[in-house]
Amino acid sequence: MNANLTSALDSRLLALADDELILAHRDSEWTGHAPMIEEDIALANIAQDELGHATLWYAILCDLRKQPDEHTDQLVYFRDAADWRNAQLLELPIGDWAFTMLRQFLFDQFEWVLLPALTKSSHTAVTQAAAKVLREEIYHTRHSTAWVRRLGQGTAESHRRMQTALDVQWPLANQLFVPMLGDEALVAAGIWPDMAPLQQQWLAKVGEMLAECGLIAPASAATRVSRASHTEHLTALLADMQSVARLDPQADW
Amino acid sequence: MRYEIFKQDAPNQPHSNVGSVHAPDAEMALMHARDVYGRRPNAVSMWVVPESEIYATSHEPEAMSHEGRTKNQEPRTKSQEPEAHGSKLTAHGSSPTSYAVFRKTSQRRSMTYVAYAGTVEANTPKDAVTAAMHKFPSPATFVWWVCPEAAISKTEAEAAPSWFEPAKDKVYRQQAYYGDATRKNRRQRTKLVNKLSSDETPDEA
Repeated sequence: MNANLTSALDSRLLALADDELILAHRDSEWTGHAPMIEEDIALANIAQDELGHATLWYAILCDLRKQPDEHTDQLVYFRDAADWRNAQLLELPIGDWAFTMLRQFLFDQFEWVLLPALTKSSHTAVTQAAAKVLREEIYHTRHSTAWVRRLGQGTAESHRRMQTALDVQWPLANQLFVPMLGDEALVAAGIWPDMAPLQQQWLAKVGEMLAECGLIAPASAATRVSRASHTEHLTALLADMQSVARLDPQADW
Repeated sequence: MRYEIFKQDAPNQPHSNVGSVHAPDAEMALMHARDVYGRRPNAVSMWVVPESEIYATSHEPEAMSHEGRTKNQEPRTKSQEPEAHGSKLTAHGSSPTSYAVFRKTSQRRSMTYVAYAGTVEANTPKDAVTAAMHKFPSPATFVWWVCPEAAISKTEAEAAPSWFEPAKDKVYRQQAYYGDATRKNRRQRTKLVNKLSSDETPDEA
């Protein structure tokens, strides 16, 4: 693989791993606070799954960079906000249950269109990881879809909360699909899919669900900012998540 | 609403009651069942039944007290008088209904819960228990549960890979994974991880 391709794949893997890791962290914040014990366990499971998916993508990234697996700890615990490449959608605070379930739904649907394409990647490590992640996403999408349907079609209050969450999240969701440097070369090499048609698939799938629930996607302009751009919420999240590791960077654990 | 959960550990074993979850409907109940009772291997299938659809009877309570059991170790009392609940149990008209039969045949402490035996045709839940006693005379049964077969919601066979298989890879959910954090034990943990992942064969019972 030439240097341009390597650098482009590096960016894509980092973005996907960061998405999964930041979502995992936000989901984990519900542990002990979910509306019912059953959902507490369910979301803790999902958080662990997303964390596991992040680990898979970081591991491929470590190989690509010819770094040992411990490089993942460096990336997760010792990287400042400006160097993260997750979408802003995933770093927002958890909000209420409707907000968390809608975000999970929008991201699950993103993975639902991306992963099948990645299982056809010419990069074997990506193909294998995508197949493994996809297996769990079948469950994730069913879980978040069930919640969006019940809250969206539930009471006036649950519907209102879903619409409020959608108003905030909809413009940001576009950032999941924004182009990254080197995309064309990756597509040409069959390593990473073209994100534009995937976004159309995503819009069709998500749009169907919103219509079923009577939820209105706001007309406000979609975010076009790059994945290098973050809100202040990421800084706060990292301060929390990295605090223990940074207390003693040399600790053996 | 409370749903009773029946988990099957291997294709050749019966679905056994493992506990219950609260859920607004059967679809959510199945998902909760997976998360609460399928976190650790093994499971290959799950059934959920609304508690109100289950008719339960106990037999030979004296035999149980000989074993030092107390009442509260019994499975929770189900709809002893289903009519009074206005449940769907009796709303199947005059043609016989197919009832699923679950029973508890052991007093061993580890086998507190009922397991699936098969189906009977009957007009009422009470008749279904009588029919079950004739159809499944042995081994001796201490507790019978019956519910209309139609009241059971099941995981789909094609969902199993996503529903249950991933749990086998998640060694961090096993207690032994957290022996302690010394280097020596980290090596032992690595052994455990390797063992668990090599045990991972589809046919394992």
